[in-house]
Amino acid sequence: MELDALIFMVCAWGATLGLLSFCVITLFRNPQSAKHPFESKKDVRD
Amino acid sequence: MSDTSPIRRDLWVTRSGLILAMAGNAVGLGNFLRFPVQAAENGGGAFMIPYFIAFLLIGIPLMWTEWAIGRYGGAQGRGTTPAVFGLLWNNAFSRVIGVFGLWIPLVVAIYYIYLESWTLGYSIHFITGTSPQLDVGGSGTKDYVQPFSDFLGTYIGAGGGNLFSPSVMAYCAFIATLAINFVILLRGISKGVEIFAKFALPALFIMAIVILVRVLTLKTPNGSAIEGLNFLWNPDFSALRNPGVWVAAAGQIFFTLSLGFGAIITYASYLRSKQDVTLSGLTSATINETAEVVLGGSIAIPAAVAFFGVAGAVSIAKSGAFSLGFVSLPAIFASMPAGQFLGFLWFFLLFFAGLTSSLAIMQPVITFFQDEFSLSRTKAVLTTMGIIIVSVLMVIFINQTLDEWDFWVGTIGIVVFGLLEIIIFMWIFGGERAWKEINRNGIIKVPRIFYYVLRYITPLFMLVLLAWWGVKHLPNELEKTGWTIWVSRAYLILLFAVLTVLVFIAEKRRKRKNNGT
Repeated sequence: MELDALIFMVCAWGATLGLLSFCVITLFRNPQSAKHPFESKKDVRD
Repeated sequence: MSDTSPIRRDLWVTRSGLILAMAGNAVGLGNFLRFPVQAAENGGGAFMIPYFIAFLLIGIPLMWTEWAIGRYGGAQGRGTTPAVFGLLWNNAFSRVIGVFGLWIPLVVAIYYIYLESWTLGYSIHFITGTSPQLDVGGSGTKDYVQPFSDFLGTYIGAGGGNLFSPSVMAYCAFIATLAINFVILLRGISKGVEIFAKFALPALFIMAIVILVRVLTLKTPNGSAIEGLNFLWNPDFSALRNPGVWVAAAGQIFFTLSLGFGAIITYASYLRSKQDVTLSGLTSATINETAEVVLGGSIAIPAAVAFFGVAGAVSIAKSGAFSLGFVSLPAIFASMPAGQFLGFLWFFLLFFAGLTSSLAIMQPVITFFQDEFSLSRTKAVLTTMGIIIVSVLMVIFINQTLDEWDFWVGTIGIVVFGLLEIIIFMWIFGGERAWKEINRNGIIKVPRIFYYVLRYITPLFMLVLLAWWGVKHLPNELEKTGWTIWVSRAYLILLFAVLTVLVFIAEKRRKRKNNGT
């Protein structure tokens, strides 16, 4: 594979997967997620 | 405004389910078919520069806008754009603009479900061995794919005239697709769409990875998949001087994230009012980008180069995403070892991608009937399905209807609507109020620079996109003649008029209820 193409592919994949990793890690590290706040249905509107 | 909705609104139960359902809305046929064609035609690796810029300046800002608008409306029991825009800007005109948020997903759902059913039909043909056998004596790309071109013509019943006569499989696959959509939608947001998304998105990624591994190990006398990656990613920097490449990148971002459809707003209306939209919105957009850039970009074009060489792949890319998906790739899979299974997997992958999207684009109209006319979920789903079944007859039988609707609604309509919604939110509702609404309870704080992006750059970018398309495509579009064109356009206007009348009837009904009369 040519170097230019490889660099662009690695950069595009890296940017995408890097952003995805950031999102997933931040979601998991968020204290709200650990408490599973969305299992509660207390504030369901009637 | 007081909440007068007599129906208890469903809510997303888990954050993962919500994010996967939102990502499923975005991940569709375009990720695997449209993206590689766009990249191959617009500078290869260099295309990714305007693509990522458009993702930052249009994709993410508009995604946050739609999530925030939806959550704002949902907190007041309203989940569709005519009602939510009415909350943002109390004016009859805002409700008419809001009708676009029902009309666009409804029209797209009508033809999208039919396309989705083709992928199911093709997957059945592959697994049962009833897809064409290749003529290996063909002398070029055209001869090679001709059996599949003929097969597609027979499947949809295209005989060259104005009317189609589809095959039995086309009818059966369509009915099955409708039934699957119906069953999932009937179960509602949390018990239907959410549970399905939690299973479908991981399954879709697994199927794509299996196909990707097989494709990347392809090598034939004509070329290899690695040469295909080389062709797709090799940057042609001169392409960046062509404004058309920038417009193509911005258009691709719009399509791939399903922006301007009204579906994200409706899905977000089922959020709890204290729930974050910043990180959840960003995550769903990024999952879609992963499916597109990493998986979508590594299957179709590399496989085409491996089988037909670079010249053949160029001619395939020029024939468009549609031909790539339903003519060229089936021919490629059919000629591989275990091609029957791989072809089945490819079309089943596309079916799953289509299904998660069709569930989302049917939701706005279903929610409209539930929220505004107090219909039960069953009646709302049945009414929406009824409209789709009647309307899809136009797409199934009348030539050019699909292309015509896709141009006016699925191409121009979504950008017009995206532009109007960001103007209503950032300019009429108020920039600072909108900014606070986006950041309210956000797990991540959106950098302040995005305030200016949302207020100035995103609308400007969309105006340029519209102007470019207007200049480039409208003259050709308006030159089209023939009764099929006019009938399909008239039906679009009729649907819009009916939805507008329903929106104003609903508004009157709500006012009467609020006044207690």
